[in-house]
Amino acid sequence: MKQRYGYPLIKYSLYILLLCLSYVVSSSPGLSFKPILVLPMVVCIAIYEGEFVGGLYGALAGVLLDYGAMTLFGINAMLLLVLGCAAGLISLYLLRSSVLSSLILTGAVALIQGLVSFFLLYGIWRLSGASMLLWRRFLPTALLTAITAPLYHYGVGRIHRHFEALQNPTGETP
Amino acid sequence: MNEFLKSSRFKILTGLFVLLFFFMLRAAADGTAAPFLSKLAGLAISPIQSLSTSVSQGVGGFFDTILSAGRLADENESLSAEVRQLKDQLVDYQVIKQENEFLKEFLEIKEQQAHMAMVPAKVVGREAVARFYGFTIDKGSTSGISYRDPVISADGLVGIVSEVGLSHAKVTTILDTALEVGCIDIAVRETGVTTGDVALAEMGWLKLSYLPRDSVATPGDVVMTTGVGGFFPSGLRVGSILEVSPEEHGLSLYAILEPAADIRHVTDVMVITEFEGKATADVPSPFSEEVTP
Repeated sequence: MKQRYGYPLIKYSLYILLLCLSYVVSSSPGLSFKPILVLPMVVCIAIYEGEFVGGLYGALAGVLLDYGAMTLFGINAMLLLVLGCAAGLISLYLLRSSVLSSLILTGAVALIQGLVSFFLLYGIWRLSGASMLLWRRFLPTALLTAITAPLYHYGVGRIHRHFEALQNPTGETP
Repeated sequence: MNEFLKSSRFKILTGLFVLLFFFMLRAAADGTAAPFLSKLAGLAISPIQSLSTSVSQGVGGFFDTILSAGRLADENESLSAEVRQLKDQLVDYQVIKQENEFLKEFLEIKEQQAHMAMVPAKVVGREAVARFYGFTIDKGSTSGISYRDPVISADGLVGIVSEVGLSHAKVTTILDTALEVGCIDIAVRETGVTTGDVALAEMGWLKLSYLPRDSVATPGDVVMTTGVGGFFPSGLRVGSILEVSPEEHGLSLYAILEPAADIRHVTDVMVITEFEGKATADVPSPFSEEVTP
């Protein structure tokens, strides 16, 4: 019973805790230029746990981003649900689970999320000079976010393998 | 792929997507209050953010002291010179004070601080790509904060509350193009309206528009709120003029303002929950456009 329900519960709770901590760190007011750390977390969860869990954690990460963002509530949640699910499917059918895959997928997710945010915060209002912000703030943030992907790939991979071993000590497939 | 699209997992994710879409529609319909999910996230995240902010400020302050010892020595020297200069200026102070008292009486400007109710708050969240340096504070409706309450720092006006949760609130800064504030240049008694500008906001500045074509406003003039409209109390320091230039259409002048408050790095603020002449809910919004698209 513990192997079937207990360990997955601990694992998924640990992911939630890490996701919340990642959000708090990346929204900390002390740093002026920072990555959006929930994005590599969602991508790496999707890579290791599959498209369904990736989608769910994507929605949760989106709710956290919506909580602090000046955009309409729910936009990031819906977007990251789709992107988390897509990241899981892409890693399942097109890419192997590797650091490079995490880097590419996180870069793509950060770029899409950045472009959508830019459009909703500035683009939609057609503010003069707004394109400067795309180059000076949004794209560097997406790049910085992608760079953190290997750290999360390693961390989430360790957690995933640890709980896999606990759930299935003999290494047999159920 | 087809297997996933036909699975119950896909149906659950689709259901969740529809639910989030419903929340989004609800948020769009009622943009003043944080929707249920946002309030829930706020309740969970706010305490962690407050703790994280305290820790990061403590650690940051410790390293700042070590790293900036040389700069502090230089600053100390320049401040000593400034103190000497200020002592000289103090001689003129009494004369100006008497003149000021007279002008206040003459213009019937009332000291309003006595009528203000303020709630101190900490900045606990700043998104990586926040719109015009907007931020989240650690106080919400349970502390008496409501939509459109003005937010100030010890130095001057910072912005206005644009969304309220139970234990958090979002602040739209005066650097935002969506927020307009009626102001007066107290040196020349000329009024204008401040608003944000994308390029200026990157430098932490804002624009004071609609100055008369024959305006005599000059760099260094202090600009304060007029209180007209009822969204901000009168007499709040907004900033000082850096430069005055004609508008493209040539009908009026505009000034570039350096805000009195360090909006991009402010960590402690006060939310003014009550003040004399506060607008009622049916007065048109101070936002020139909806803050949340």
